[in-house]
Parts: sequence; structure tokens; C-alpha cells
Amino acid sequence: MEYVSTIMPALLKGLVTTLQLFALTLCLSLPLGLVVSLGAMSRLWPVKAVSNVYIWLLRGTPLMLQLFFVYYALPAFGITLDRFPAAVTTFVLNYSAYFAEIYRAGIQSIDGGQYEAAKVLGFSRGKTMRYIIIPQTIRRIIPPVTNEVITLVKDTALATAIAVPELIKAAKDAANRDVNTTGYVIAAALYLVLTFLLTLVSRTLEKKYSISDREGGGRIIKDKKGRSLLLGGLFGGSL
Amino acid sequence: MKVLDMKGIVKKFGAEGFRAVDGVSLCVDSGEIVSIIGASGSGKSTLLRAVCTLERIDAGSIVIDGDTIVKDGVYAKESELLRIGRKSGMVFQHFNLFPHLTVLQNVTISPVKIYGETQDKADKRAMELLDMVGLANKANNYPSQISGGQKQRVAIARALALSPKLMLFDEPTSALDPEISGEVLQAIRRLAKSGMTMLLVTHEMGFAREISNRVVYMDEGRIVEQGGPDALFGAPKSERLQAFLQAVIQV
Repeated sequence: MEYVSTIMPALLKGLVTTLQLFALTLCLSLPLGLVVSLGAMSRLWPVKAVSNVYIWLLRGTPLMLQLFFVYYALPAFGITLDRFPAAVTTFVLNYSAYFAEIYRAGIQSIDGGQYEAAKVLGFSRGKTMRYIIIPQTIRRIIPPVTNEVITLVKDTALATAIAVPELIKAAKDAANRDVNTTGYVIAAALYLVLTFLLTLVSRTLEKKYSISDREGGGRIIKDKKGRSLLLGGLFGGSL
Repeated sequence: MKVLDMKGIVKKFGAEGFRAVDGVSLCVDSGEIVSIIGASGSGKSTLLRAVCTLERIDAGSIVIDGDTIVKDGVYAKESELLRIGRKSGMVFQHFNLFPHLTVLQNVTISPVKIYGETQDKADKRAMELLDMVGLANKANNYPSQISGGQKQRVAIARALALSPKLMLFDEPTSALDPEISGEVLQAIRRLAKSGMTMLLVTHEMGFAREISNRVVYMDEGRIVEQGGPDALFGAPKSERLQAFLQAVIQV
């Protein structure tokens, strides 16, 4: 127990870095994913091609390889990033590609009749997306998005490969120094607490929004508000 | 006074250039109620969808209430189309209500977000329209909480909220059980009495006969026969219409 208290400050410091990495990645990749998914569905073929290649590359290569590339290989192209910014950049790029695919699937699952109804009511393409399609999509994609968010918490551990001082790095340092694996056990417990909290948040969100398609609910989100509610909920549960 | 004037409409589909609508001309006068009947694939829905620009025609002209949507296959500018668009209201077979909005919001979203009306004014007008279709008490429900017949009546109110000169109905009762299509037909009847100009595509022959001033029979993308409902149903001239009516009655 005495040993635990000696390594706890270092572990908690690592945890803070993990949470920062997690929160920054979410804040940036959720909106970037939307841009990429709209690009992938664009009618302009160059935009569509670039977006699809982006998704293909980032989903088709290991996240750890991408970390190495951004941290070790980009300096050769004149872009040098510190460990933490390099990790954030990599995670944002990687997760935006996954979110883009989730958004795309969600948007494409909306019935064509919605577009037709919007069109005869005078909605332009942009306004149709904003007022009709995206608010409906948000509710449908809550389960896959929260799933991805929980995966992200665990994926942040990969940043240890480029020596970002996050939770795993802190545990590993303690284990190497003291020849004692207790740090790993505590790290595991902390990850479990985090994913448990996120699971609770995602359950609440699903209950609140997803089912309302069928049952009508009573508290359905209104256009833009919905997105901020969703983000607020996720961060509220994890920070 | 013509509310709708269509001349020489041609709509082709696919690489083969199949002509879903093949040179149709049709006028609808103010206050007139015209029903289009015909077998599936006769081009009647395509023709109706061309009026509200859901289908872009390949040749021909469409004028609504004096405004040209398309002349000899050339469409007006987008901004023009947006302005003219509200002159026709469309009711779909599958309602296409917005499931994330309440009944009231379904009716007001276009007037408020697209045409710049104030929420108060739009709400007031929407409540009048919902009252007209007998659904004022459902204003705060979501579409998933009401029946199919009620959804279609909301869809009618939604289309009316833009004060159209012409109402278009694309098989408004085909997705409904027979016992509840009556309430939708009743709403359309009431609208007819108010003097609204209407163009309907329908499979309800009895209703078409009762409500229409004129019935148009289409087959293979062309108008085969048209006339007053009693003449058309009572004494069809063409063999194709005779065969069609025979088949429909047997069903």
C-alpha cells in the first residue's frame, strides 16, 4: 500500500495526459470526420476522390505505424512535432477517418423520401443536410460513435510507442525502475473505470435519443443543439 | 385561368432512353380537380413529379400560375425555381414526414427556415391547417406516435402551409389500409370544396370519379383518353381504357 502511494502521483499525471489526448482527439476528430464524410459524398469528383483515399489510407494502416510516421518520418519533410502534438495529430487523423465512415453510413441510411420532401418544401441541398438529414443521422449514429469513443480511450495507450508520458508510459517507467508490476494493475483499473463511465454515458445517450425514432420519445434534440448535447454528454462523463 | 400548363413533356430514363413520359400536354384550370389514372409504369407519377421538379424533364414546357419552370427543356434559375416551388404543394404516397420534428414543427419548418416567416405567424397558420385536417390535438406529437392516416393528413397540412396555388397528390392512400384511407380522402374532399386546384394520381377509382372535374387516363407515357368522370368511367372509348377499368374492377 505504501508502494502504491509512492507511484500514484506519477500514474495520475500519466492519466491526465491520457485524458488530454483523449479529449483533444474527440474534439477535433468528431467535426473533422463530418467534413471528410461530406467530402466522400460530394458530387465533385476530385473532392470525393481525395476524401476516399484519405479514409482508405488511415483505416487501412496500423495506428502505431501512423504514429511512427508522424513522429519519426515527417521531420524529413520539414514537419517536426513534439511527442504530444504528434500523438494528437495522428489520433485526430485516424479517428476522423473512422468517424467519417460512421457518418456516411448514417447519412446514407436516411430514406430518400426525406430528401424529396425537403426539396418540394424549398430546402436547398445544404439546408436539407442541416435541418433534416444531420439531426436524424445524429440519433442513428450514437451507438457506433460511442463504441468508437470507448475504443479511443484504450487506443491512447499506443502513444507510449513514441514516449508520450501518458498512463501506460508512467506505469512502465515505474515497473522498470522498481521491478514491480503493481503500476500496470493500477493502470488497468483506471482504464476500466474510464470505459465503465463512458459505457454509462453511452447507455444514457442511447436511451435518450436513439429509440425515439420508433417510440417518439419526448425530448428529441433540435438541429444544432443536438450535437453540442452529444459532445457535452461525452466529455461530461469522462473528465 | 390556367394554374398548370404542361406542353410536350418528355422524360427519359436510363441509358436506353426509355420514355417514361412521351410527349404529354396537360392543363389544369383554377379550381379544377384533375385525376390521372393508369397502370403502374404508365408515367403518371413521373408526370406529377415533373411538376414539382423532383424529375427533370428532357423536353417540353411547364408553367405554373404564369411562372415558367421550364421552357422547351431549359429550366429557370435555381432562385427562380425556389420562388415558384412554393406555388405547388406535394403529398407523397409514403408521407415523408420528418421524424425528428413534432407535427407542428413539420408544418412550420419550411415557412420559417426557408421562406423567412416568423415562428409565431407560422405556428398560428399551422394550427389552423392542423385543425382543418382534424389534428390540432396532435400538434406536439411526433410522427412515430400517430397513425398512417394521421401522418398523411399532417403531410397535407404541411404542403398547404406554403399557400400553394396547386396541390399535387401522388397516390395519397396507396400506403394505407383501406379502412383508414377514408379519413385522408375526407381531408382531400374538404380541400376540394374550398376551391383548391388539384392534380391527383390515384388508384382509388371511386374517389377519382366522385371528386374530379376531369379524369386523364395514361398508358405507356401518353394520355390515351380524358374527359369528365362519368363519361370516362361510364363510357370509355379506347380499348386500352376499357381493358384497364375491367382489370381494376375485377380486383
